[in-house]
Amino acid sequence: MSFVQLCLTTVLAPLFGSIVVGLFGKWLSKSHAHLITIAGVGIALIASGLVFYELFQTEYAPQNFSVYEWAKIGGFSLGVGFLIDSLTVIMMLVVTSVSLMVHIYTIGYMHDDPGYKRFFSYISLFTFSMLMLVMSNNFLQLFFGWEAVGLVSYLLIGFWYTRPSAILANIKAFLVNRVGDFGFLLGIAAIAVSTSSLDYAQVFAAAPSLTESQLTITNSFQVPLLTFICIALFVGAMGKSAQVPLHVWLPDSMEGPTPISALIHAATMVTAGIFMVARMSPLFELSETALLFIMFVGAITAFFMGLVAMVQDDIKKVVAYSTLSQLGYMTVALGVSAYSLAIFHLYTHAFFKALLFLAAGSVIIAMHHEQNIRKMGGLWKRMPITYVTSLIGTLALIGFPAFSGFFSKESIIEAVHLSELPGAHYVYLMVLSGVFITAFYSLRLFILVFHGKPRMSDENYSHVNETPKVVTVPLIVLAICSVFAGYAIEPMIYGDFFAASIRVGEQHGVMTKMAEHFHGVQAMITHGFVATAFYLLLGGVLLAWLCYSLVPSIPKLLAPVLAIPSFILARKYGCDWLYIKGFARLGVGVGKVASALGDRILIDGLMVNGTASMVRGVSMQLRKIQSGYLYQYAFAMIIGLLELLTYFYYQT
Amino acid sequence: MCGPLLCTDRGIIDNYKNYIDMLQNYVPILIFLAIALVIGVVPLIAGMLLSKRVPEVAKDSPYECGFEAFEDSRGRFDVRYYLVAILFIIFDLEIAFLFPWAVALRDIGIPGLLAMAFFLTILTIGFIYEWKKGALNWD
Amino acid sequence: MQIETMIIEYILAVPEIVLLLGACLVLLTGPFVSAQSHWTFVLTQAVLLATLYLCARPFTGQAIELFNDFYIDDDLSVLAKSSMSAFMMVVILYSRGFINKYNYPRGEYYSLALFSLLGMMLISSANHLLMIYLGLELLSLSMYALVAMNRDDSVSSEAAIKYFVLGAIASGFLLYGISLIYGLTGTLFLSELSVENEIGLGIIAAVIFIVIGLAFKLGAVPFHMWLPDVYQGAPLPVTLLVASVPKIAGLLLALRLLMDGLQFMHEYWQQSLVVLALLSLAMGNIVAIAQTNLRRMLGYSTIGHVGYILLGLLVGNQDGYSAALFYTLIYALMSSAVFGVLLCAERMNHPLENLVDLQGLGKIYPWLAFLLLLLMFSMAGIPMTVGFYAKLNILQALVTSGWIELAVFAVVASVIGAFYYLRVIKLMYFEESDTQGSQPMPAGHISVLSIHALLVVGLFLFPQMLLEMCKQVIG
Repeated sequence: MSFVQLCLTTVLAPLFGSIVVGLFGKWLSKSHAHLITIAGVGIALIASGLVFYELFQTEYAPQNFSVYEWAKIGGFSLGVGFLIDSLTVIMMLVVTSVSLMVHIYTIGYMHDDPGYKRFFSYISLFTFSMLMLVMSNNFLQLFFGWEAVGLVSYLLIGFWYTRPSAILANIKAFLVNRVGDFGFLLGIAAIAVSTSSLDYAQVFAAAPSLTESQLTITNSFQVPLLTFICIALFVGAMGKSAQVPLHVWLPDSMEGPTPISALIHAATMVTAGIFMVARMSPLFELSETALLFIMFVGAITAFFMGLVAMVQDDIKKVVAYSTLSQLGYMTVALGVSAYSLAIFHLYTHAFFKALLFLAAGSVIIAMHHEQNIRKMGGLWKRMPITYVTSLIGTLALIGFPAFSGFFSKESIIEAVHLSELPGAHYVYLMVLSGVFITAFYSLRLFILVFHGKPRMSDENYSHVNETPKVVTVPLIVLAICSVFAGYAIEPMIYGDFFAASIRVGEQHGVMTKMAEHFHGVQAMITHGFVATAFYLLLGGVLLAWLCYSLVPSIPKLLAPVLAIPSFILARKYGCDWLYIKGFARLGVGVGKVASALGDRILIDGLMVNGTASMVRGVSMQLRKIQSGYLYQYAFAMIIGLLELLTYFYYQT
Repeated sequence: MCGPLLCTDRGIIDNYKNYIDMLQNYVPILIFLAIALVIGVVPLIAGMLLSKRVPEVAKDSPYECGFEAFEDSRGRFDVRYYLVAILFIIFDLEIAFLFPWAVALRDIGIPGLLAMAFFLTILTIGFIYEWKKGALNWD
Repeated sequence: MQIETMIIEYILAVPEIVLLLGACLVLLTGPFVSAQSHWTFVLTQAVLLATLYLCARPFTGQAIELFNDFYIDDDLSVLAKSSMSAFMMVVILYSRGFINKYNYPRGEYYSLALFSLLGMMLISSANHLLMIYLGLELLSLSMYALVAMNRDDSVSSEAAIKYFVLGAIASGFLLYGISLIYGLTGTLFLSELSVENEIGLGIIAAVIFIVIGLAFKLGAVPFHMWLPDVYQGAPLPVTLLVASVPKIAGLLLALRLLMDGLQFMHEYWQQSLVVLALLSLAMGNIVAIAQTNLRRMLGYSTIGHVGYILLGLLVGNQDGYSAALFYTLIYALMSSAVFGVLLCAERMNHPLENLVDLQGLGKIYPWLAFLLLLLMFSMAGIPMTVGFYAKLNILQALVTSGWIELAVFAVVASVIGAFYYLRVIKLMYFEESDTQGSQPMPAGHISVLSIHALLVVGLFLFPQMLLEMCKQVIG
């Protein structure tokens, strides 16, 4: 099988599964449905592995080829093509492997749901869309994948479409993403206009010559072209990767069948934005302003969303806010030009966050769909596997030395420390304190769920049991990955794995300095135990232990003191209020006025219905010409002939 | 235009001679017409003079079968007459084609023979079809 | 030597020969087998398959003239003949159920269809005006007989007699034009037509007569009067036939006459085509709105589409001709599929005669309604269906050669046209009906129809091959 066929197989196998199960599900049994889709995703995973192997053989030389030219407008070619390099291949592996786990896990989790087959069809479609997105070699296909994952996310969040809260959440996700996509589309349009190409290779080649160009918005208002493009593209990433202020959809997206769709959102789809920025590194490197913007947005997300996680009581929401915060870390890494670190964190995060989500799901199954952590406690005895795996996931999340999260997060913090961008030291403080926050809310969650006395009736407690194998096996696999994934740091970050796919400008030499300080994994772990971050981590852990295990009365005692902060945090800084009561209501108001005046009276009444009734009237008159009499028909022909003859007679 | 007899111009007189020459070519046709007229009219007159007349309705009608010669042309009649007439025309034309073909056969050779064979085959197919369909049966 | 060339000539004409023999055989088989026999159908399809197989060959870019240059074998004729045979196979397949159900004389329907195809193939390959006339008459006579096939139905007979009389007048015009041409140029070979002197009124009149003959065949206003009546009056399978394959032949007729023969008169026939196209676009689309009979509405829609085809033709360069060819092929595809849907519904005892019959079809026969929806989208030229590309091509050809006003007019006309296409969809999906769909779908019919109708989406996604082909055959 040639390389092209291999790539096509990767993409099309999940699509095939999705179409078969989605359209012909009526004639398939449940087991057929999951076998077909799992086979599709399994094939995609194997093919991705083979692609990785091929690439490994050629020492990560990027493969860029187009498969099909869809349309050609002048010299402007729109097509389907693949750009396969180390960045792509790592995303392919993450996407297909996580997706496979999700598929397997779904068998157990969705077992009795009437939408069983539909769900499988959706998640396979998601895999296809995500693969199209990451493997693309042009902006059009990227946009296709981008919108397709958006669509699937909409479908998944609203999967239980009879629940009003699910519908609200999916509309919210869709609308918020539209805001981001609008920016994204503007960016793509600006690229198309300025370079007259949508092909990555051509755009990247043309980019350096555009550094001096200005984009004229009005006659007197100009912005540097590349800064505009980069920020517009990043606005798209903000929507998809849930960065402040477009983060509001992600916590609500947990309305979908948890935790599977949540996992899709949290561990895979949201990384699309991070991936996109890393993919566009040749563009972003040329705009200092855009990088600064990215860094600050990331830092704000990392810090403030972590704070919100501290007060949440819903097990999914805690994990969701933790995801937001971790995405913030990745974005910060992008901002300081440490693209490889962002991808590396994305990769480790995929494993431990998947683990945490599935563990949360396991708890939810065992608790018979109870999600409030205030009503749990002491589960470690009843669910040993979930307990141990959750512990591993938590340690990885908080960045405990030697676990995977440690390598990526610690490196990001170090990269920010070394960055020379203006304001980087503020960001350094924010990400550093983020470590404390992360440790606190993770342990809070862990202790409330698994330790202490059960806060439920004894009868309920006795019914809690370890979940079946389809649930626990993915947990164990992911737990193993969460421990060891970080050890890939040496080849991935400090080798030349990303050399061909990520371009870093000379003035942003953060990674070169990092490489100088790096003396092997062993040394890094040893150093990790004496770093500032480790003490903050211990502080967070101890505080959580103190508040929720040792002296559970502390939170109550402190409540009056912390009333104002907790009021703000519980309302998530009022973002939802502002968007729904503010923007949305304003929009609806304007819309109503415009509808009544402009649409119903002017456009519908006068223009649309007016022209329509005019055409209808003309039509009713004209049809009378067709009288049905043969002689009149013949007469019409003769008249036609005479008209033409006369016309030409007078012409010549 | 002046009549040829009144003109004295030499050229016109020449034209006049040509005119006479041309007319002379048609003299046989004139004779043929006259003979035809005689052959047509004489039997009729002879019949009128010589025959004994016993008039009767059936005898007075132009044909003893078919439909009336003088009646409203929008009247109804049996469509089978048309069928027969149409079928007749086809084979009539076939014969009409065969005459010139037979005369020219020496010049057009084998291809001509094959072409006519082809033509006749097609007509035969039509003939078989109409026969089998029962178009040749009156009832 | 002579024999050799003769053999080569006959070898190149094998598809037509096979078709002729097959048509005769089908004609003869009819009376000899029982009325319920399937032999005629099988035989017809076999003949068509053989013709298609023999016609289809890769493009060579060469034109070979045969039979004393009367006949021409080039890529254009190959494309036309293969597509016409293929469409004819589909048409025959769709018609079969109806023919069996109402016990129409089978040998006749099938053999007349084959003879009309033969006529169309002659037109496609003609290099001589008489050849064109011969093909046209063979096609037209078969069509008249087909339209009149249901002898006991007065509507059908009326349509046939109108079609016949008007067709005869149009043939007269065409023939008169041809004779003028012969008088003025001294030849009837298309490739030799030209006038040495200055272009006079005589040759212009000849061109007008020829254009009118053409306009009648295509159904352009004001020579369109027969079209709605025939669409409505003829038996459904015949309407299907009239509405699909002869359109390709009509276009080939136009290409042979105008492109091969009268290109030197381009600026003259262009003007008459402008008038015809404008009238057709306006009349077709506007009057269709007022129709209540579905088939009649489709007849007017055809007139609107003919307007588009004429727009492509009148541009008069490679872009225009190939756009018109592409449009015609796509139109034949859509039109035959629409009538395929009507025939399918008719077979399930749910005849779609009037617009009201469409009410609630989306609930009664969801799949059928979905196919019709796709086809209506395609006819209206909405993206995701190939009808969009067809219109786009024509408009592109118009705009690049400076006919902006015409392009704008065409767009407005198709916006008006979208109304009645979308009304079909509205009736199917947004109106209720108490009828229940009890009948099972005829399996063969619906499966071919599904592929056929889904092609409008397929060709939207992969239009390149057909577009290239259309460009290539217009040398």
